[in-house]
Amino acid sequence: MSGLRRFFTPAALVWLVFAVLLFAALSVRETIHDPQLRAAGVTEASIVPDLWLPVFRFSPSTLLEMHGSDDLRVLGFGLLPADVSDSPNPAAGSAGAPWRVSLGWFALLMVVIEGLLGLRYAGVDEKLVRPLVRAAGIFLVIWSFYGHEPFWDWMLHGIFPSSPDLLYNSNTVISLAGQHLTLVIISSILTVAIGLALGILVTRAEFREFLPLVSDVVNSGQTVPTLAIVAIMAPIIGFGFWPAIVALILYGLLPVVRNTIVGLEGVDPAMIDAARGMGMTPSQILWQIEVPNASRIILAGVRTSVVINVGTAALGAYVGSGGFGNPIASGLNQAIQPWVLLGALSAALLAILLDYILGRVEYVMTPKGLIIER
Amino acid sequence: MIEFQNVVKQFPDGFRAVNGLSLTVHDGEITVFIGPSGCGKTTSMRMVNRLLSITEGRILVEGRDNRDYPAEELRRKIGYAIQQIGLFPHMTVLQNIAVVPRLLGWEEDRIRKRVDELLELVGLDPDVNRDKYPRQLSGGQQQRVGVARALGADPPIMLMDEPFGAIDPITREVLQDEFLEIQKRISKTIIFVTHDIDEAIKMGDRIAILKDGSLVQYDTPDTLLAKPKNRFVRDFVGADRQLKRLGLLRVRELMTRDTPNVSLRASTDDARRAIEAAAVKSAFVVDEDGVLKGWVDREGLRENPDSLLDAMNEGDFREIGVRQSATAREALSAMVARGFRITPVVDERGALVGSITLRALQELADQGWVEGEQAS
Repeated sequence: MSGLRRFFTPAALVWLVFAVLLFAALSVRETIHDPQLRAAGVTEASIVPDLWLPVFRFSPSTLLEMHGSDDLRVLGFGLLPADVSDSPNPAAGSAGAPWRVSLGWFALLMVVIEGLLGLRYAGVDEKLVRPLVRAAGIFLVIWSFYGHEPFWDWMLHGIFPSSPDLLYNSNTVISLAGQHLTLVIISSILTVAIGLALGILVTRAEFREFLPLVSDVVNSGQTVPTLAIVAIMAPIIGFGFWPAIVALILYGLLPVVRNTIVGLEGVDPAMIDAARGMGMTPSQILWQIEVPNASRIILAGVRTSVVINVGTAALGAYVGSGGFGNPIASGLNQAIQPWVLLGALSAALLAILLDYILGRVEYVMTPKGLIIER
Repeated sequence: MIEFQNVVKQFPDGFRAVNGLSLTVHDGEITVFIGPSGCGKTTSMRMVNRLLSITEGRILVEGRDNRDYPAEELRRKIGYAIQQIGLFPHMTVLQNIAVVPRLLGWEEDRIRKRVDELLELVGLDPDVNRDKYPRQLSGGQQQRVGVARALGADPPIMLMDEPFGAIDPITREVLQDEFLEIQKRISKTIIFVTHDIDEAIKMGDRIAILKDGSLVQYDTPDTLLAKPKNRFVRDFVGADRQLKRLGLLRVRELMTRDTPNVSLRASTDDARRAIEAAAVKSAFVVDEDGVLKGWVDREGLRENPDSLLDAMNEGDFREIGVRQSATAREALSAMVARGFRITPVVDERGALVGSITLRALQELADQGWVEGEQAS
């Protein structure tokens, strides 16, 4: 009995409720209103998506593209029927493809996983597996909704019942999400690398004189409007992916650099003195003492930077870098409101999702000794 | 052995924190550096493990100029404990203590054994505390871990910069006593920096008083208190230096063993004879096991000439006697409190082993005082 209670942790119960809701919604079939989906032969579908597994693949146009499950072959899951094509509208989600798993089953799987973890770590102070499993589960759920065109059709039709156009006409939501996420991930990785390096460098005694200079430059990076940076970069680097990345880096650098500096400067000098006195080398002091103790503040900066980047990346549409900026820009140009809303909602959802995931990562990466209370 | 040879420390702004310091820190002793703020005591200490560079002169560590060692290697063989403790909050107690052993590349088994041994040495239960984080410990416990960490790789030398300075007075006393006990066993060569003269007198085998970067006096605590070299030292050690000095001396070393005493069963005549023979005013009364039961004086014998039991003043040995291990200062305090000129000394069971007189203590103080005056 107590085992059962430990199995049904709050998280497992939430997944269970979610699974029940999904299965209930599955029986409801909605009429499709979007002209393209109808043209593709989809006239009726459930709004409950199937599970879409994200797959990274390299392509020549962008460095990295993030896709839905149509590329499962790449990772060799061996589940994908050979006839699934890269059509612009694999809307189809629920139509055909018998191997696809309804999200309801995935939610049930999460109930089992969370429950087993609950049993495994009952009463144990565990801060690695559980937060990451949960973050991954939530990511997959959101990602599946991005991949399910009928869901967006249903939602946009509900908001704009009289609009003839609903879904963005030149790309699927999932590939916009892939492009957007790619922009954010690549720019964030570079931002964090550059920001950390700068922050660490100017807090070293030898380079401390550059601290005011670096913080000025980094500050000004954020005062210049992003659109202006994008516009300036385009003639220099060309259109496409990279000018957007440069703009995102410049824009996202401030929180990372500032928090790195604040975090490292905030490390108790007595601790560093003790470390030196015990015979640690400067690099040992940096990586074993200073960075772990500043990690919380540094990670908070990274999180802020990434969330800012999700919003800023929408501007990349003006230089052709793709992402959720595309439906927004086109929608504004052609006065098609559902497109604007589609882009804005999806980007906002992505920002919330990444903020949540990074929050979990922050929790996992902060040393236990810094969180623990007496 | 650590030897300072004409050591000078001049900071980039021209300030001379240490100005030609020469002294020898002896093996297995606690040498206290003390002086007012800015006297250069911490600066001098920090030059030993080269946390600060030496401007002129040199410091020999185990006979070698400390600049001949690579800085990190030198520091790893010198334990280091500071007032702020500086425990690493993201590491467990075990990881904190294991820092230097790991830097030295010890095997995990050996490190674990060493950590448990050290935790026991500083009075913390290894099983309870090994995996705790510093935030889960009290200030006193943290400083115990700090001391254990400084002892991590069993360094022959330790530098301690006001290690008990930030701890409440009661815990500080306890930690001081415990550390002295530990030092008896491990006999490290220790430089101990403090600004608290009482701590210096208690902890130090030798005390170096510094002022404006120069050594003023370097002596044992007793000599320092008995013969302060000049007015500065005398002011620094305080007006109560004679009392402090009495705090250094044990009753065991000062007491006289042939104390007039009579048995409970003795007659009043025996008691009177004993008192007269010793030409004193009173004698102590003991039972057949020698345990102190009270005292009898001439007046009491006059008023109750028939029974010793009626003539004597009864008193528990815990109240009227002082232990052999007590300090002379405690004996003095006991005499002042009870208005006696003599106090009996007892062993652990309460048996009378001797006595100590006010006069003896006064003579001791006079001796020091006079010589001290002459020296200044």
